[in-house]
Amino acid sequence: MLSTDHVLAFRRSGELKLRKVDAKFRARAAELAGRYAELAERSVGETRREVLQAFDSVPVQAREQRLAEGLRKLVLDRCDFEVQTELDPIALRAEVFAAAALARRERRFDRESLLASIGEAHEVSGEEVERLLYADLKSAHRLLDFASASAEHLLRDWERQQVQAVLLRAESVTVTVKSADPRVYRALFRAMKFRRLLYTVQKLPGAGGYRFVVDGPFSLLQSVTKYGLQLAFVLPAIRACDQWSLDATVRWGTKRTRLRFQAEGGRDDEAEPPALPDEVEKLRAKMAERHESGKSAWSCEVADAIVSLPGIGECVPDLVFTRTEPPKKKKKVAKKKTTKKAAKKKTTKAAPKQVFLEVLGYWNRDAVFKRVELAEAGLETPMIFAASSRLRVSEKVIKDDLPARLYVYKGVMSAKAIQDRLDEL
Amino acid sequence: MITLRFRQGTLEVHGLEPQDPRVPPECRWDARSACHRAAAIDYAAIVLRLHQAKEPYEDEARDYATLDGGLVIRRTPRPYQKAALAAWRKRRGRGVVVLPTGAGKSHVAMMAIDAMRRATLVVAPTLDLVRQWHGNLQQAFGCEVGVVGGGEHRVEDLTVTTYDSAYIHMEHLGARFGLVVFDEVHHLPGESYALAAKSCLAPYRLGLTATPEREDGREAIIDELVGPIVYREEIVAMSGDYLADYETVRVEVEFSPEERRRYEEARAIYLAFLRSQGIRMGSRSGWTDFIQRSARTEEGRRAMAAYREQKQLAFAAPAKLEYVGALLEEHRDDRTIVFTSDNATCYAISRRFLIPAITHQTKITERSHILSSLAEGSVRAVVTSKVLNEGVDVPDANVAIVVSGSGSVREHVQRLGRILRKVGDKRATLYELITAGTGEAFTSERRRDHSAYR
Repeated sequence: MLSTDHVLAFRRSGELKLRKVDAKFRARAAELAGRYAELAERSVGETRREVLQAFDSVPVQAREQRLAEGLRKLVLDRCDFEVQTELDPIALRAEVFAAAALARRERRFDRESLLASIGEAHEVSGEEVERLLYADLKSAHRLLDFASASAEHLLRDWERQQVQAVLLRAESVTVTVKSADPRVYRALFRAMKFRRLLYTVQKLPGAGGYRFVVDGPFSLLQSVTKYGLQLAFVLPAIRACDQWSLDATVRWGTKRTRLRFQAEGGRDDEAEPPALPDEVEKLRAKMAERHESGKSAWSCEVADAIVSLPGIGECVPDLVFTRTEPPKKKKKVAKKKTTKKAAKKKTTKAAPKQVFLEVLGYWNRDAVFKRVELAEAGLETPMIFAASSRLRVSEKVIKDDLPARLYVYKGVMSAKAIQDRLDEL
Repeated sequence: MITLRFRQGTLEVHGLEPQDPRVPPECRWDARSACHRAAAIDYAAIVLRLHQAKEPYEDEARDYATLDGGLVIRRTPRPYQKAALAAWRKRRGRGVVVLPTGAGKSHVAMMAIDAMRRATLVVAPTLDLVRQWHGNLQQAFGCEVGVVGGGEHRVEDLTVTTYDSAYIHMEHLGARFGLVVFDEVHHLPGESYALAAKSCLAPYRLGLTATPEREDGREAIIDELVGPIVYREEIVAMSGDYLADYETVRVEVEFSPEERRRYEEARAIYLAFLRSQGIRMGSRSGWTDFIQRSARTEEGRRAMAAYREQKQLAFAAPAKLEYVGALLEEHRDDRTIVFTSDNATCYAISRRFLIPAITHQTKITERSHILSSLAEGSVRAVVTSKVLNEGVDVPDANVAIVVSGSGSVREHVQRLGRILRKVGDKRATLYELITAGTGEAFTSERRRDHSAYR
């Protein structure tokens, strides 16, 4: 990842703005990126010091220095350096220094002859001993491989990482996202939770989407940039949304001046589409099959909702079940002779009812108890939480009168068991 | 019922409505979690308030153990160590003890741990010091001691970590310790490290240092994070009785005419740039201004290159290195530490005189091996850039050669401190090598502004 030292930005009226990438700048940046990549490619087998010297040979103007350093960093990130020597430098040093100390105390210290005699023991010259003495220093590591990348690819990485590097100095970020794919929201929530960030979430009216204010526990007490790295790590999940914008407060420069930073964009072409976990995908297929074959009154879709209760938390359901009348049953109802009133009553009864399913898996026992609190606090839409028996929790932790069920499964989730709980609710 | 919980360096207070008059003043309402929140450092104050108000509460925050056993090896403390501990206990176990290097600050910490018998975290600035504390605690308490940092993550009731690791991990570890010892506590006021201290709920806190004063004047923050200075003794008062007798020798070396010409040329370019930009290097923002402005123009880049060249010429003047060779010969039977201000000079000296180098790149196992070789005597000298400046115990070292350094008084006093630990009738000597007629003379004057050099 690029660091704040690599960010090309300027300040205007209390705002930090990234330098605009126009055609001229892009052409020059691509030229530099291509040149560094080419040099890295050609330098395989050379030391880090030599690679850096080769980079230094590329003429760069003072005002381009920051851009050049950023591109060099991206190229170096793709390089694989390693120590390459037959003699272990640490052992060799210990031997040389002990021999030198002894020779000095015995008043016979002569540098060249000492190196030569140690070299003789290892069947190398004294000069080679001198060269190998610090062959493990970073600057002496040899370039084994360079993962090739085009200038355009490096430039795209550079642009992407500019925003990420600014976030390293963020105190708090307001993120607005919209996505047609609910799995993207789920991935975003998971990223924030995994990074132990705190947030408030608001569903946007109209066209949908969400707004989050994200920071960490200490942010309430003191403005800190401690969560900047975590915020930067969440950025790829934000960029996976169809539309996103962020509005951050950052502490910038040596004086750590507080500035506003805004960025926005569309879905990152290179963002991998978040997939449903395998076990959830299998369950979805089984439930859909049951519904289509008329065994179940519940249709099954990927959920796109976020269930949020302030103070207790949020959960992002994996699937949503909607009760519909299975085709067979509908036929039977049609045969009956009913009055208009009775028909109306029947229609009301058959109105679709939704139930969410969240699969908790086997990784977090506390998460189960959080869900119990969520259910006790009241849920607008009933929920089923599926937890592996490896979490050692009882289904009875959620009482029968609550609009939720805990399904504890061993190994693989059963579609029939889920359906039983759906019918109960 | 009020419930206290530790969460990521903060204290959550559950069970009170936002406007409840019983809410401790240290807390703020956090709508994100529907609870009151305070910094973990306020734990002791909040618990005390609840006690005083006879308010029942459930403490799910405190997660530290009481130690079963105390010291297994009891050394008779020196009178000033006893006095320091008494002064610290009198301030409810919160405060800073200032003692010169070599006077046994860590023994005061051992006595404090023994007195409080709470799970303890020791925070030290370098991995060498972590290793040293680990060995000392294990020996003194005869139990497993944990290490967090340098690739290790093992938490025990007695654990040692670095300031950097404390910053990263305190949000997980902050409830696990009732006493925290900040070794070389003058590091603490930095923004990140201070946050680590605030993220820990330990009611007892002990700071140790020889040099509490900081150039940025932020030492006042130590009061808030650890406590006030409760005990202080200076080097001059202890020299001879508890520290080795010492002398400091300042040696001026000359450039050759060619070196002088190169130095003056480079310096002229650098000074001309400062004048053209109106930068005053003596001012607080001087260095930052120079870095920023030199990056903007070709002229500035030339000035930065010239600055580096003149500095390097003065720092590693060939005559200095010749003199280092002569001193190593003269002190061939002593234990010598050579200090430089940069890694390049450090490795150049190591290669030239075939003595081990310790820099931030030296792995911890090799560092330990080098230091134990120095203690055993199989090597008689080591060269280091800055990593041995602080705290690392080299009891037998009696000669220090400062080839180059900053103008920092603290750095210079700490370097002197490396050779002052009293072993028998040891007499210590610190050589300071200066290139005559360069900016080093002024730098030397600045760093010698301490009673230890008068």
